[in-house]
Amino acid sequence: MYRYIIKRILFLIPTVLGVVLIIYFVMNITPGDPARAMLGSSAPQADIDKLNHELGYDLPFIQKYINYIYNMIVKQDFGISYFTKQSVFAEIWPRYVVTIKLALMGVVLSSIIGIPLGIYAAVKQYSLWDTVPSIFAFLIAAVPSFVLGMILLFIFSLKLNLLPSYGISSFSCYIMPALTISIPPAAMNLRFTKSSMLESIRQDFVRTARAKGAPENIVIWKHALKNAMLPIITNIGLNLGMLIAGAVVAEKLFSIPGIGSLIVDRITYKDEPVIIAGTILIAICFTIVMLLVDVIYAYIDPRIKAKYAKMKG
Amino acid sequence: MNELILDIDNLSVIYKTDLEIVKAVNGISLKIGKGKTLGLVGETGAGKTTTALSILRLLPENTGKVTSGSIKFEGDDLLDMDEHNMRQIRGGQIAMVFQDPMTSLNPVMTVGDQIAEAIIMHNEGISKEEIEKRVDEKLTMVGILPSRKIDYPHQFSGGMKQRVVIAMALACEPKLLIADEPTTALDVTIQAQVLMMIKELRNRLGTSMLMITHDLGVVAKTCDDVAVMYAGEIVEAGTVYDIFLGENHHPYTEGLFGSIPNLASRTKRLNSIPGLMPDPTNLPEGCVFAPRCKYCMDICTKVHPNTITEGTHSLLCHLFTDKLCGKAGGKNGK
Amino acid sequence: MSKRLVAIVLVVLMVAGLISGCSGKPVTQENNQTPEERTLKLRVSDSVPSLDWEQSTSLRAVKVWHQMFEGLYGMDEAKGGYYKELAKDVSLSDDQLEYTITLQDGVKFQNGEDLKASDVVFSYKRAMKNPRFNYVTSMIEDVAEIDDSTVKVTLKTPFSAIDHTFFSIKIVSEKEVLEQGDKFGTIPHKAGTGPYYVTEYNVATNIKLSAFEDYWRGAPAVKKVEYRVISDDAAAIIAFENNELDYLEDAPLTDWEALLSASGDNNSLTKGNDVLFLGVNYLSPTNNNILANDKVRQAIFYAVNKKDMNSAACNGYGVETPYYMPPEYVATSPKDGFETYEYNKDKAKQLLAEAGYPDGVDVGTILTYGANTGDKAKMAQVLQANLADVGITAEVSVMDSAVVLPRLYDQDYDICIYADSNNFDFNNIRQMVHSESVGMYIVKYKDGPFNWKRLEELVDLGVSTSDIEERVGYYTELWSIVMDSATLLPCLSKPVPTVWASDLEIGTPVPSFYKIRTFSWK
Repeated sequence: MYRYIIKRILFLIPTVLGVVLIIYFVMNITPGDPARAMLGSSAPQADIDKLNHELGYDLPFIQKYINYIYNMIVKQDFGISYFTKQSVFAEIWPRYVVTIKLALMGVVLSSIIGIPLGIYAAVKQYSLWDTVPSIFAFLIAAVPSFVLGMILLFIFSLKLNLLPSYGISSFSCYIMPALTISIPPAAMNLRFTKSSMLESIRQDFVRTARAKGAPENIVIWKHALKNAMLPIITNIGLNLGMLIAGAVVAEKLFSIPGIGSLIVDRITYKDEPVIIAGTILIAICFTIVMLLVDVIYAYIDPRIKAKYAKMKG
Repeated sequence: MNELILDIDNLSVIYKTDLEIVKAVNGISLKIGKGKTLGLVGETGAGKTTTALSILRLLPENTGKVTSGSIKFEGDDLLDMDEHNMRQIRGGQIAMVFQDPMTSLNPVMTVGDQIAEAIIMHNEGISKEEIEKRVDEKLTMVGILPSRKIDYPHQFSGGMKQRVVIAMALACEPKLLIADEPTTALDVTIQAQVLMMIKELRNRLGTSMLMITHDLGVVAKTCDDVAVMYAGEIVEAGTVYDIFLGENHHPYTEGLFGSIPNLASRTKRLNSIPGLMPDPTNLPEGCVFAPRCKYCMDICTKVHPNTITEGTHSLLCHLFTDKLCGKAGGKNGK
Repeated sequence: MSKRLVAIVLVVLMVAGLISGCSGKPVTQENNQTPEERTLKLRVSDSVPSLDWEQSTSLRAVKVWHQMFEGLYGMDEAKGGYYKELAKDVSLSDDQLEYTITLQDGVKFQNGEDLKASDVVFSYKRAMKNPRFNYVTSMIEDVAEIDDSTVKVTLKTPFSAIDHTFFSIKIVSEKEVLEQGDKFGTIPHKAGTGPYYVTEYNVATNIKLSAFEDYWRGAPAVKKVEYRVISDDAAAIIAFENNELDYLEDAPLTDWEALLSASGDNNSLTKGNDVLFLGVNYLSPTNNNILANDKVRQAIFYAVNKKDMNSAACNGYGVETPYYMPPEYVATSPKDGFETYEYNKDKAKQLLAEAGYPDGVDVGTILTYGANTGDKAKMAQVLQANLADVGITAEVSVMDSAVVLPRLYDQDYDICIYADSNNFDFNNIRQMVHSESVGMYIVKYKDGPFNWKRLEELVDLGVSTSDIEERVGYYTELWSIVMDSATLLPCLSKPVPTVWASDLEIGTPVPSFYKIRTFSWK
């Protein structure tokens, strides 16, 4: 089992190398350059070229790639942002933490809302408990998250004056963004949970549990749910991974300094060091989340654990 | 007369969907004496499992409905009981072993935990050591090493899984064990082992049993009484001697015995009962077996036969109305 | 097993709650604070990349820096024109090449040091090394210290638009800048002479300023200022309506009605300095050089309905303008004496027919940049419709500025919509017409069929004298040549909407360079 985990972690290395290469390649073929973005539309070309040269932007991209990898591994130096001239790591890390907080909150909320509703919908199939949440889930899955965010802003900030509309200065600032990013995945969780549970409830061992005299809630929560968890957990893991990168919309709307909005903003300035460092962080995070999901699989389903143990490193 | 542990009277069960009504069980009556084993024989679709599920009230919520009759367990009608008491009974007083051991066990729980669960549910406040002790006991009882209680179901073979299921069912030493084709999914040698084990346990613990099977061999080995079921009705019932050695038989029973292949003779074709069991949504008028019966008479397709009883042997057939009616003043009617 | 699941969930919740809760401070209640303690909250639409004024010419950042730094000259948009700020007296030599500047008395930097001529020299030399400010420093030969309070600026050639240079170059404390070294701009500093200094600088979220009590004009009334980064316009409006922002300038025009009702009396829609105009590339090879035909270009100009453009791009709040720079803000901008191409559909059709295309013609693509829903994109669509009205067909293409601007500067387009701003001296037209401004102009006049040599002469003449009347004369002729060529057409002057809190007093609202030191709480 441990060998399996270590093997997966080692896979991170080619992943990171690949990510950096792809970004340099893409930056290379897209138009625009940092000097133009920084000096403005009216600066003369000579100055643009000079600044690009100073920043090291005009080197061939393979050269930049090798320099970057070298700096990263040997000197643990992620470079200086083209845009703010500040250390990339110092700029990125606090924003990364903010996004992680937000993404975690989003995932937890979406699970708390989606999974129990999904279970109810499965258990009470065809009743109101099933049809109403399911219809709701379809509706909400169709609504874009920024629309949701604006509605929340409108109601809770403007009309009710309960929550602040921007920033991260207090815990209450996180509530609306967390809700915004958690509601669409909650709808997905609901549907996944429902279908997984429906399958699970029909299994023979559930009937066995009832025949043993188990009360209904133990039958559902202990027997049926545990067997239904596998697809649900995959979904949650994917969700977390996507949220870390994709909470951009909520970040922009609620002026939350997260890593998604950082990368998006810096793309306009072609601020390569920041974009790359940010993307690497996200890639690492995603990989670790997927690894965690697989490890949790092993804990839930002993048949999978047996399979991992059998795999020779 | 022996005390009855289970007395089913005129039980009818239907499955109701939006499209149709399936008449699964139509007015059957069964009696199981204390410490006795009743074999419920019939082919697939006869309604045997439905009967078993009805006893424990495990019919599917939305569709299964008991439309008439009573199921008395030690005098109390199970159909009238509230859910809370019913749960005490399930697993504690009446336990069930299902057909397919491969899927009957929860794959993500250890065997030990699953057996322990049964014990915990019916023994409040029992100590951990006591639970472990009992689990070990039950496993040994079915011939599995107690050290294997930390293993998961997928680590056992089919036969051993079924033994675990049996251990689970007998964990609380129930008074009545319902075994729904417990050996059908196993190969013959294992079958013999498991049957022997069941018999031995039953003798040791004094458990009454309802053995559902389609295999007459199993019936011969394990049962005291037999009931033959066809299309939701009991067409013949009696002691095992009545059924195997008795004079008169329902044409269906005849057909069943006739289909058993004979090792001694060489034949090219197997004997079978021509035709198929009727569609339970559309049962024929009169006798349900009439379409396939070689003794079919005019009256058979029009009038539903009454039960004719001769001592311990009862038959549901027009053939015997005259013969037996005159004799020992058998009971008529339902 | 399910207990473990519950436990895991609770742990995750707890951890999440702890992490987020621990770092927070409670949202402060502003209502019962005294004017001394109250923080003025403003918005910036994107991060301010540095605290060093040399790092950008983006107006967004300049507005913030104006609270911290000052130059020899200041700008008064309300009354128009430049005024002397850190310069007490300015005298010009007879050959118009030497400016002798006496500095104001009693000016201190925020770090306590006195303002000395050496700081001015340091600041100018530093700026002259920065290519970004070439356009205002390239004419300076030398800046020298005469004594502690006198500076001499020597030019290469007479340049009357030097006011703009004196305004643009901000004076920084030599000591502070050298002390901070490479870090200058990335951390809070006290290097300016302005009424506010930075106490907290978080690039991604906010900048906090505190009043400089020893400011040479006297301590400002508003003591604390905070700029928050709110990139989404809708969120900014909600923040203002929610009293989380006290002053919102450059508010989105589309929500002007809502802002009007939220701000009561405290709103203004001032004419700004941003001009949206049309550019036609007479060198375009499209459709057999169709745009080289003078009459076709004139037809295009006559077909433009500026009123429609105003409705689409500025919700009707803009001002239709024939001027490249608004004469209200730019004293040297010509007011009349040039062709203005008033909307005239019939004349357009007639010109088209004269050109040989009575049934219309295809002129290629209207290229512009910005958001697909932005003002320039809308103008492009209106233009397309206006042209279709007279039989001219054109496509619209809207792309990212990083893609479009290089093409414009390379004359790789047919027709374009462009925005220009921050022009306070008409000399800035140099960027648009002079052949040396390669990479800055949209239309290349050099070697063209127009009197481009005279254009360049006039540019130089414009700065050869400081007499405003004379300069306006030169620029009128210049602009007349440009308009006759039918290559650039100013269309709209964008308005700058501003709203502010009911208990805030701001004096006369100005479009760009508001001064917080003139604000006060009621």
